Amino acid sequence: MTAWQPFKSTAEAKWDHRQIVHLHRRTVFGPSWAEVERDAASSAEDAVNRILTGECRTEGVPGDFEILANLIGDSATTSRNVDRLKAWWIYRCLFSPDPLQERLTLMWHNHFATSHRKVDSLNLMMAQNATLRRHCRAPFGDLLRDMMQDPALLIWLDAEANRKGHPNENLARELLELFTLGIGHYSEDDIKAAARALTGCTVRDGGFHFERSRHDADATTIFGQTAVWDPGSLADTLLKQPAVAGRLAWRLVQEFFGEGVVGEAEHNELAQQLQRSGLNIGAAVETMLHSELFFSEANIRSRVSDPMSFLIAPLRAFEMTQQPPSTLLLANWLKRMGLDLFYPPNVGGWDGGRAWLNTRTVIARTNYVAATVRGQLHYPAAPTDLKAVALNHGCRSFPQFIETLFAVNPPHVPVDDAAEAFVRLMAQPIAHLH
Amino acid sequence: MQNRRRFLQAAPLMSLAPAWPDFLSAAAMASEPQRDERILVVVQLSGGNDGLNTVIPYADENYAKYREKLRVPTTQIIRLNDSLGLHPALKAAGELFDYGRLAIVNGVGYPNPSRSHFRSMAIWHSARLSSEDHNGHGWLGRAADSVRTTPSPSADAIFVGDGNIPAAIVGRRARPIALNSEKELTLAADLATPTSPDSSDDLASFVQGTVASSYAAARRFSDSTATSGPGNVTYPSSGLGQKLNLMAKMIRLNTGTRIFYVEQTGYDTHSSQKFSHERLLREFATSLKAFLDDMNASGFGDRVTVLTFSEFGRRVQENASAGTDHGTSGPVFIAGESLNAGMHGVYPSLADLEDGDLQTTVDFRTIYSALLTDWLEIDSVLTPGSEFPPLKLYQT
Repeated sequence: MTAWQPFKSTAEAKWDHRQIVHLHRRTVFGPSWAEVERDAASSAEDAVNRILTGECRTEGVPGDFEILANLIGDSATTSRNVDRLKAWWIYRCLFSPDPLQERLTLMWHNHFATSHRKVDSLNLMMAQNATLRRHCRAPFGDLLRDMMQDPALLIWLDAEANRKGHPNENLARELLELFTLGIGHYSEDDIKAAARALTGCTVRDGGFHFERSRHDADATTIFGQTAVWDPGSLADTLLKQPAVAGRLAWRLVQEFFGEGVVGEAEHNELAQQLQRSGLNIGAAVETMLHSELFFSEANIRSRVSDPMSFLIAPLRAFEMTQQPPSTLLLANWLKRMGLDLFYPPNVGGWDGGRAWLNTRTVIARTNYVAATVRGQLHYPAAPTDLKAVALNHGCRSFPQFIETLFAVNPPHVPVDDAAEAFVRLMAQPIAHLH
Repeated sequence: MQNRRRFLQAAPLMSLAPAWPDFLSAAAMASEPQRDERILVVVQLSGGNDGLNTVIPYADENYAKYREKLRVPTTQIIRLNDSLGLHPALKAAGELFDYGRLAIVNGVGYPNPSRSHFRSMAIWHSARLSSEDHNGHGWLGRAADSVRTTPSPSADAIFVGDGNIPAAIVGRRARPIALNSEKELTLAADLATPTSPDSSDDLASFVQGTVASSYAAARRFSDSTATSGPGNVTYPSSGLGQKLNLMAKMIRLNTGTRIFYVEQTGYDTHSSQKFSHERLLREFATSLKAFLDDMNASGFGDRVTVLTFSEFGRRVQENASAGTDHGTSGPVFIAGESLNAGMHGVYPSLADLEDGDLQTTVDFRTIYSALLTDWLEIDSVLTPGSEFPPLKLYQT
């Protein structure tokens, strides 16, 4: 693969703090000082591998993370309070030993964007989230087949109403347009026939149920192929369409690259790799993160920082994992920054990119940073001594610390009040790029 | 990439000395924005409103035939003329119609309709049919671009809501802002506004401009005491009512912004439509009337027009789950004091459907033309190489 050749550090292509912070912000929300130092002392290849294999975090990871996360998740679903489910996911992003898994799960939540607004069941939203996480690096077919039987998605897209003789096209349309092929790769007749193939899929007692009596077993034509279809054979045929690899390549590039960095040739090559590998998502992510293109100057600071990264980065940098802030409050801030977990704006998901920034979200971002460093995310309020964190690591100065971890020029303010200096730093336009 | 690097290295981006963006500098403040210009408010009904149960062809026998479960009984329909009437939940809109404050345009759509929410909404937002032209810019964004002066004294457009800013009001240079509640315009820190970068990098300029206009909006809002209303209008406590209430406050600030946008979601009624659709229509009509009454009482009545549209109507034949699937054309409402109220356009025949859907009798771009040229008085080309004569919505 010529377009995706691996990154090798040279005199021109440096492997330094700038590239390390770039890698961590793009993929795992943001690094701590010790993680940057560790990566600087190793090769880029090893640093990327640590992210891919879930070994990139050196601190703030509880030994019994999965047990704790499951406890928090279970009590969230029994609480009937959706804000606690949002808080649970933020807990995972902040503390997981494998934050790339959370990044990819967020990507799939955006891809199969399902809203609790209509599903109205924390158990089903949680179950969908587990499915997305379980298959986040898997061959796409594994994920797609499970999602086609995912109760939350089926409720969201009116599967219950889709019956023999009375097709409801909602699920079929989004399956073709958004989840697999993309607009322009199917006809209206394909949608109508796909809807008939999906008749009978429904939810019973909180689980998937195929109601054979409602299934339309007449032969129809999809992509020029006439057959008696069922959901399984529809999935098989969909997954054979070359457009799926193109759409997945687009999704992955949207998630991991800056504006205009990946050209048509690179995009096509990535799609071809996906096609050859049986739509293996993990392998494609590996190719992308190891690539020269990923570490190219054009890709650094070339996209608007997404809300989750903006939320987590200062918490990791200032090691607030020891006395973590209220994840419920964090969930509320995340919403104000435009990412209301489990409530995508519509079935198309969040637009992302520049759409993350508008008056409301810019002010929310600034106010979030202020609330964080002033200790207002804790009960009772507990400001973090930012300077002490820096000096503990033997940093020459506080400005050097934040310049390293946030890769921006420190503001020209007296650092006596480190917290206020940091608020000003994060209010710079450049702080919204990563 | 050279430009971006230069931007990154251009320290300090923020200094101790407060640096005002160009448009708030003394020179810019000296040239006051026009304070008496006309304002366009857009209410977007998202999801595809069932036009057939909004403006109802009650005299057509086919209506009852296609809508076995969902038909509104003739006796309950608010009759507007001898063939058409409003859904009873639109009582407040009926009052606007009776007093000459509402124009209804029937059969509005475009050629070769798309039944995709996203594609169809993109067409309405951009006023361009080809997806290749859907570049994130919209008809009002382009209009704002064409009249934009530098430095611009005010936000070009304001979106009231918690979703993404709709492409309709995004332009190449026009900078829309968004807000959802008053507290969202209050900054927790006293911050200098960043200085302009010496950069032609598009992304860097975008971020710079967005941050600067956001801080400027916060400062302006906190400085103002001019937002309180006359106090004799009660808005519904619903989402749309409260958004229009906040919008009215922004309009009373009278900063020169001429384009306002709000969204009411939930119209994608594939199943059990009756009560949800009724609730949405009631919320829409009562909120709209409160807003227009408020504008009248505040002295803005003659300056405000409200356009209401949805990305498509729904299938004529209801589906088996007492809902309706994605369809084609539908009615558009235009409300305000200074317009040719009443019915416009021919209601598509239920006896002459196209593939089970209503035909289009009015191209939506003729409405856009009227709003741009006859209301906002902005000359704007909606689609290169084609003309859309303005629908006669205003006396010119």
